[in-house]
Parts: sequence; structure tokens; C-alpha cells
Amino acid sequence: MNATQFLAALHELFDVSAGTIHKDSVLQDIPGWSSMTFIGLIAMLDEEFGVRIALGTILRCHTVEDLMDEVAVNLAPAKMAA
Amino acid sequence: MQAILKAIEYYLPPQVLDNPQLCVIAPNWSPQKIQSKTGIQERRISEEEELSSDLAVKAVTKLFESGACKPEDIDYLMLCTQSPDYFLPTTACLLQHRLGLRTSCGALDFNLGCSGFIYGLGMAKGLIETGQATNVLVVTAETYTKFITPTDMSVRALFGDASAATLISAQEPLDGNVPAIGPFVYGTDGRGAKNLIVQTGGMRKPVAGFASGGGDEDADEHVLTPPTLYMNGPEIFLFTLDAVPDLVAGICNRAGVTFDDVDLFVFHQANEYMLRHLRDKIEIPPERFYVSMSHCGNTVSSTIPIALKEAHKAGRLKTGDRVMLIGFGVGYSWGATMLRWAM
Repeated sequence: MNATQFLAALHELFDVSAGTIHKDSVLQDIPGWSSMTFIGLIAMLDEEFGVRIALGTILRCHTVEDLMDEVAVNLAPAKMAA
Repeated sequence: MQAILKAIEYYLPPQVLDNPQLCVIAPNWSPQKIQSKTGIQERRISEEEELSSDLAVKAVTKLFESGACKPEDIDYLMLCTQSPDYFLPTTACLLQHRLGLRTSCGALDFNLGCSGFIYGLGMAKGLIETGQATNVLVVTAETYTKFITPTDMSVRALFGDASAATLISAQEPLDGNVPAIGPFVYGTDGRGAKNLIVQTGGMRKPVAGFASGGGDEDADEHVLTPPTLYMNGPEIFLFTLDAVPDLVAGICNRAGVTFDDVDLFVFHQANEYMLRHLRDKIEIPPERFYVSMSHCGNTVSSTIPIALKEAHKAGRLKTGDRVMLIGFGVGYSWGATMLRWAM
């Protein structure tokens, strides 16, 4: 996983134009971020990165980078190599 | 003798709650958004005086009227519900009388949600194949909408009321190797109890006025709000991502089948968005993955029999087809089985 890949996936999920979301963007400030998007976010993280992040963990993340760090921690070693 | 699934009928109450009506309550939603997030166009809502037993009577009466069986044929009735008429007596006992079943008929309720149909099939097979019964009615009936706060869109957009009646009968085995129902895989994880729950109304948190003695002096210990459904959707979704792929692998292994041997996959119809994600994750061919919930929503334990009935009506099931059934949800509880379609 790299930042470009992660940001691209977030742009697609939230259907926002390129460059809207950055590593230091505050999650709650992303246009369209709401409790309704959690299912979509969980599905995206599972599909794109093969990780399942608990809701409580997502809610503790402040910025996009915090969420990226959580994904990196949860990535299986095989995925890291891929 | 072996157990076979002979007939299914279902009943939906007439009152409709569609997406435009929901958007009046929640103006930040749109009908298209609800449709794309859930796959549901409308849900059916029971009237205030219309209980699970009433829905069940309607579903079973349709089964009798279809000619599949007569009331006197039934020697065991099981009702899967989490919204029974009473704490006691058993709602299935009320149904025995209302349906005109014989008094030598066994009857019981069992409390399961989205996995309930699988467990019902498992118990019916056990009763029949040990010679305890010959015609078992497996009835699923829920009025979850009575537990729902009108403004809680997370559950109001999903759940609808329904009942389904399924006839499981004893029959000489058609061929020796493939059971008509089974094998089964079951699973339970009570750690998830808090994520889909009606907290009040039972003994742990009785509603106000329900107390030994019934006096006002202990009213503080009693909850003033009516029994209300709470669902943590994201946590439930995470649970399904963990449990369902293993469940599918488990039933394939136990039945000795690969995906190529399965003509139709019918999962608990929880939410079409989640189902599509699960389908793609497990790599089930879309053309063999059946979804039928846009007309009634998530009807809990009735979703699988409703989907089977609709698949049959649509010509998607023919005699001898092998069908994989996957149930999962509240508890957490899950189960899977295989059917050889006999209708």
C-alpha cells in the first residue's frame, strides 16, 4: 500500500474530484463523511487492502494519515510484499 | 425416510413504507440513495394490532390453500420469532389452535433471527429422520418494525415485517448419496450480542410498570422507553466479513461440493450492498447468486424462504438443483446448509 493508492481509493469512495483529499485531511471534514459511509469505507478497506478495521478504531482516527497507519498495521505480511 | 422441503408460502402485511416516504422523515436522504445503499424499494409494516401470530396464520393459511398439505397432516409446528405475542404461552401453541392443527401436534417457539431458517431446517430434519414427525411446519414470523424508533433510519430503511411457512415432509430417499436437506454447519459468538439488540422489555431491563408488586416506588429501576431495536451496522458488517467466507468454505467442505456443483446461492437478505460485497469477496458467480429483497426489505428469519419462493416463481430453480443457504446475524448466530430442490 502506498499513499497514492490509498488516496485514490478514498477519492473513488467519496466520489470527489482529484486533489480534494490529502494525507493531512481531517476525516470528518471529507465531503460526504457520515455514519452512512462507514459501511462503504469498511467494504473499500476490505476489498482494496484485505484488512478489516473495527468501527471504534476508525472513529479514533483524526486524519487520513491516521487511518493509513491503522491499515498498514493491519496489513498481512503477504500483502505488504505484494 | 428423509426430510425434504416440499412447499413455501409467505405473507407480507399490506401497509407499505417506500423510499419517498422515508425521505419525508429524513430529508438528507434521497430515494435513489436509499435504493443504492440497501437494494430496497419498499418494506411492509404490520398494523399496531397485527402481531407475529397474525402474520404466521396468513402465511400458513396460504400454504394450506395451495394444496401442499392440510391442517390435519401437520404433526409438528415450530415458530421462529423474536417478536412473540407473549412471554408465555408459546406463540406456536396459539397457532396450533388458530390453524386447526390436531392436538397430537408438537409445537414450540425458538428465538433466533437471521440464522433462524437454517436452524429450523436442521431441527425439522432431525425430527423427521429420527421418526418423531412426518410433516413439520417451519414458520418464521417477525414484526421488528414494532421495535423501531421512527427516526432511526439505520434500521427503519432496512427492516420489514413478514412471515414465511415452509413444509418439511418425510419421503423415501430419491437416491442414496445426496440428502434433500443437509449437511449443516452452525456457529455462534455471543460477543456480538450488543451490536444488534433490543435491550429493554425483558427481565434485565423491564419496562416501566412491569415489576413485582407493580408499585411506583421502584420505577427508577425500570426503563421508561419502549423496547427499541439498536443496530451497529458497521460492526455487523465486519462480523459478516469474518464469518461468512468461512461459513461458505465450511459447508462446501462438509457437503463435498465446489462452487461448480451449486446451482444457486441464497444468503440471508440483509442488505443488497453488503451482499454484493460478500459475493465478490467470496468469488461467487453473480448469475448464481440470488437477491430478492427490493419488495420487502430485510425480513430477518423470513428472507431465505422468501428468496427461495421468488427464485422458484422466477424459474431460477428446477427440481434437483443444488442450493446453498447461508444465514447470519443477530446473536451473533450463523448457519449453512444445502438443499436439493424438490419442488
